[in-house]
Amino acid sequence: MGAPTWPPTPEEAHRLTMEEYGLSEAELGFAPAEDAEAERALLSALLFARPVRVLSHSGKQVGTTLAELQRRLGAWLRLVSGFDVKLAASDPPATDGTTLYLPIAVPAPAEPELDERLYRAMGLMQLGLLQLGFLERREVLAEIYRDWVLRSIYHLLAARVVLRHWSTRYPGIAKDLLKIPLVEKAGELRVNVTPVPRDGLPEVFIPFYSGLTVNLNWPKQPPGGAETAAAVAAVDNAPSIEAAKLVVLGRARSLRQTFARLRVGAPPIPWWIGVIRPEWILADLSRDVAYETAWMKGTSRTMELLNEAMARNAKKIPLPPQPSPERPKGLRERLKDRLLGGPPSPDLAKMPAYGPARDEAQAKAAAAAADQPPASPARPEDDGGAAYDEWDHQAGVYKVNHTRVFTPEAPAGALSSYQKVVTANAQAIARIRRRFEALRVEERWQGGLQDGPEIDLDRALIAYADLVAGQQPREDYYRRFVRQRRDLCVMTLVDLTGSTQGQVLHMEQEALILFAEGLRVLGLPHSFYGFNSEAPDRCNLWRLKGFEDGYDERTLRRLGSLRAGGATRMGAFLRHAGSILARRPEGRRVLILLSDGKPEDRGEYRGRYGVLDAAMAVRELARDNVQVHTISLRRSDGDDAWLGEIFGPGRTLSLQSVDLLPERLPELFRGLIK
Amino acid sequence: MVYYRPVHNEVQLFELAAKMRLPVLLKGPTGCGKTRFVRYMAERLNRPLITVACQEDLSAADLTGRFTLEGGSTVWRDGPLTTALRQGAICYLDEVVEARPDVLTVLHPLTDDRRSLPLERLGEELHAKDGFLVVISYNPGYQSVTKELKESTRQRFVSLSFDYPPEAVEAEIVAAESGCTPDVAKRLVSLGRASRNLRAHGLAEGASTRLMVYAARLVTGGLSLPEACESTLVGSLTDDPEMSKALRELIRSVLG
Repeated sequence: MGAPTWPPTPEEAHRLTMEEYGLSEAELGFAPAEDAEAERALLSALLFARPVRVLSHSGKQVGTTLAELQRRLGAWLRLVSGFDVKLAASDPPATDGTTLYLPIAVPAPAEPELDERLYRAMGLMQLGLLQLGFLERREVLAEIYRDWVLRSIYHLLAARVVLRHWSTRYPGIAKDLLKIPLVEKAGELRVNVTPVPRDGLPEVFIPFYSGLTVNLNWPKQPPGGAETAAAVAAVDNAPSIEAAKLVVLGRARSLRQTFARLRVGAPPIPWWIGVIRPEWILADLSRDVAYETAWMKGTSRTMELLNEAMARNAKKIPLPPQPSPERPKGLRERLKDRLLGGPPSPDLAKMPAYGPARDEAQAKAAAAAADQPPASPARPEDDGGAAYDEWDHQAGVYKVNHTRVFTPEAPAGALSSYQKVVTANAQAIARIRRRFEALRVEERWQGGLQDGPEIDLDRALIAYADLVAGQQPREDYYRRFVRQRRDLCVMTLVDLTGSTQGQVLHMEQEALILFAEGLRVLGLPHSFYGFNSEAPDRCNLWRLKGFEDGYDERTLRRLGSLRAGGATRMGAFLRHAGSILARRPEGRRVLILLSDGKPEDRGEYRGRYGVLDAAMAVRELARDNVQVHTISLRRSDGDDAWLGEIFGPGRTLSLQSVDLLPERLPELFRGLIK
Repeated sequence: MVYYRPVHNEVQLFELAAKMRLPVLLKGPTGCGKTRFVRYMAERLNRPLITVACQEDLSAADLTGRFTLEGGSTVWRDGPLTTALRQGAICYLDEVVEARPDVLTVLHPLTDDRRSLPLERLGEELHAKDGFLVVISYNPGYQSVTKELKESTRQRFVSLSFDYPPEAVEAEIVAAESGCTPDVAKRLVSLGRASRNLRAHGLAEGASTRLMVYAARLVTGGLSLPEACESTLVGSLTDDPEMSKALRELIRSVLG
């Protein structure tokens, strides 16, 4: 028989485990094996079996879970050790040199205080192995990696040193650790993940367990354990941690020889002590670990191939039918079609469903198919909209409820569109952010104070007059320079009418993204809407980012994919923006409008009619304390008087080149609030 | 005489800086003894000490002085900095980074060889009396994250870095300041030092020496050690229930 190789290859381990699966209780009881091959087979069965502990998701079959106390436990371990503790879940307890892996739950019944104590003991054990240097010598790790029996002996002896270390440092921990061996669920004996029975353990193992697990019916003086007892005593009596480490290694090697001679295999380890995993610490053994982990999870190469094939095929499965770009017709329209001899009403069952389920399915399908954004509705859902009056300057009256504005979510494009703009303008964004950073707080003189570094002359004069008149003056004649957070919100409306298609739209989008990046730093409440209209009763204020929206992926997708079309019924958009701003709690509200042309829409909404309606809407906003500013992207034709007519003097910035917009928009805003 | 237990060569360094008229910057975590050290040095050098607790609203006028209206006329009132200048005192600006950097530029002419303070409102330039010294302090731990000194300010000072003293010295300080037994002091220091392991990992700061002295004083006054720890090392360090439990468990682990 050739020299045994260790660890076995995954295939070998699998075969051995299968062969050994039917091992009886007696066979598992460590009867002396006939030869090294049998020992290996037995070990394989133990090492590579799945954990038998069943964790129930309902929480009925488990005790306290790690998640319940992870934060507190991590803090406590850090408090007592000073070690930068990271916790993760794995059963049995182990460490990879940086993270402590503790079981995801302890067995039922749930006994919160006891379970927490148990977790603390498990954490201390792994922490001690690390901190005392039992896992730092590479050659020792390699040695115990190749020999599971040596690893187990080394671990059991090292555990004694760790316990002594913590007990000496902290009296309270000493008391806790004394109780742990009495907790039956802590002391289950295992070889790796496999529980083994206590009865029938070779007597030579028994001295290991004093102080580590409950003794049950073991003899006090095991006849066959003299050498083990001597090793345990030597470790316990080592004068220092450094000496103890040498004794542990030396005695472990010696006992390994003894156990090989006796053919008793690896001593099982109490569950709470955990397991040493050198392969987790030594990087070059990671491949072996991967195999072992795959096996532990029950995956095999065949399964991997199958999964890969399924994943490949999944991409070839045809996507569900794409949504119709047209809104399904309502009952009235279908009746009209039928009565007027139009096309027959489609079968309802065959119509694409509307609603979240359809959107979600389509979004998922599209996202899975390629690097494409989730689908968005081509046009807004009919949410009823909001009706607004429109000013008819010729008649000198408002046309009541003449317009209707809808606020659908704007279509979301690919995330990369947003990211490209950010990447291409990194320097400009950094500059804008720096400037916006300086605007975070408002600086101003506050007068009328009872204490301050400067005299408030106006108040001082009043006080002096009172004094001269023989009256008691008020003492609020000081002033102070104060800095406080701005009480301001800003809404930006961007022109998405058909005329912006091309360069203007491109620069609008770039400007919007640069502005958004600056506003994110500033931390002021802000929103972005795009506008276009199809008819008086179909004006769309597309929500690119509402006040309540954060900068999640969907918002970025919307901001990165502006689409143009339709006309400019500006009065309606301004009035609806005003109604949104009216709901804001901030004291100061600013509305910025980016537009490339005159207010014009179908029908009568052109020329003076449109200009004067928009001007009236701006006046309505001013009445409600909304500051409106505009940036005109329209190439000047010498007739820009209408801009002043709508927005008032000094409220308009005309850009001769749209290329200037990305830089000028943040600057305009900066100038507004400085 | 104010009690201060020197840890390194800080006393000699400060004395030398004062002799050479060099302003001093003290850096160190909260409650490690910076303010106590300045008080001790002022007594040792026999100079008056004027302390200013800096905060965001502190203005240059708050430091230098201002006119006040008194009975219909304006009267000039010196600020603490000007007073220190006239008296030849030590002017100690505690938690200096809490003040706005532009305000601190008022210190610049006082911290170089000019040692003078222009008072524009009075139209005069005050020269510092012998013995005048500017000392500033801040905590680089939590304050440096959001606030920092202007480089032009920082480089005008001789720096003295403070930290919590070694364990044995800290126990000695706690015992001396509170009158508790050495054993109580040792156990409190052990607890307090362990709490510093959670600095920036659940706790903004660990227990300061000052907090340990408070706990020890409570014990000296008759409170049990666990109760004293609960009121100081738990309650004063965190409001987070999980961190509080972890600290309580630590107290149990240490005290047994």
